Amino acid sequence: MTPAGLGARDTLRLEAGMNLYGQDMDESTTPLETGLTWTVDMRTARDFIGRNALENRTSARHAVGLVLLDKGVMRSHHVVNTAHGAGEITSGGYGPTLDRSIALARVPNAVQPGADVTVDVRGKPLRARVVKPPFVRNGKVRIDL
Amino acid sequence: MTTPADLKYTASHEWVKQDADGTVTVGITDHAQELLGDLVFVETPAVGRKLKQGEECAVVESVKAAADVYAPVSGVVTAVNTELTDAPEKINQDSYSAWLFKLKIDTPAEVAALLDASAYQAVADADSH
Repeated sequence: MTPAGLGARDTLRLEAGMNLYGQDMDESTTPLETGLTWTVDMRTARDFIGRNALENRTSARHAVGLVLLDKGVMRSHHVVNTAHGAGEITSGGYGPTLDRSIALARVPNAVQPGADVTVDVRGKPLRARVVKPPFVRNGKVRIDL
Repeated sequence: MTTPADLKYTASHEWVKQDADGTVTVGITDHAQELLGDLVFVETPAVGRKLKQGEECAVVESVKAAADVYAPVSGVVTAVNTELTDAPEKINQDSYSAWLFKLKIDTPAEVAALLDASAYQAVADADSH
């Protein structure tokens, strides 16, 4: 058995764009808001528990990835300021493969990959770019820097 | 953990080196960098800023946490270590040569009252994580 750091686990799953339960998603969020629509079959006629509830639910926000352009580290709960209103970082940290701060965030639906936003990090507005996760897969960088 | 005998220390894990000309050099201790882990970001104070002893003046941030650095003594910032902007890991490699900033001090008594190496060692030992 080899000790493995939780920090390593966290940077690995963050770079892979994978949600952390309790932080990026919990009982109050739906797949629409947490980047998980790929796990839910809304296209075929197949019924499933919760289908009706989901179809009747709209959400003003969706999940995106963020890459920090300035120096610093984005963290959970930092406010994201966009052209369409404010959002929030759900998970943030340092991505070692990219050598930059990366984050998952919940932002207004109109905010799409490619958009420039700012993140309030300890009182300073730092520049970030919206991207579609994953940031890294199989060791390869998957976003345009 | 190393604690050089020729430096002074604070209970908040800063080290202070007295230079010949009434200035001091400040950094964070080996114990501090060990607790923080791999540093990814360092923010130093602006040159020319006046600091009071105990005032928050810099930030060191690692993958797991951000920590404030406090002015160990009062003075004016005369220089900052710009190498740390692109290579914050130098602090992990050698926290006593990777200094953060230099201060021109106004109250030498404050320096004399700082902890010596053995007093700081006791603080670090008690600070078990």
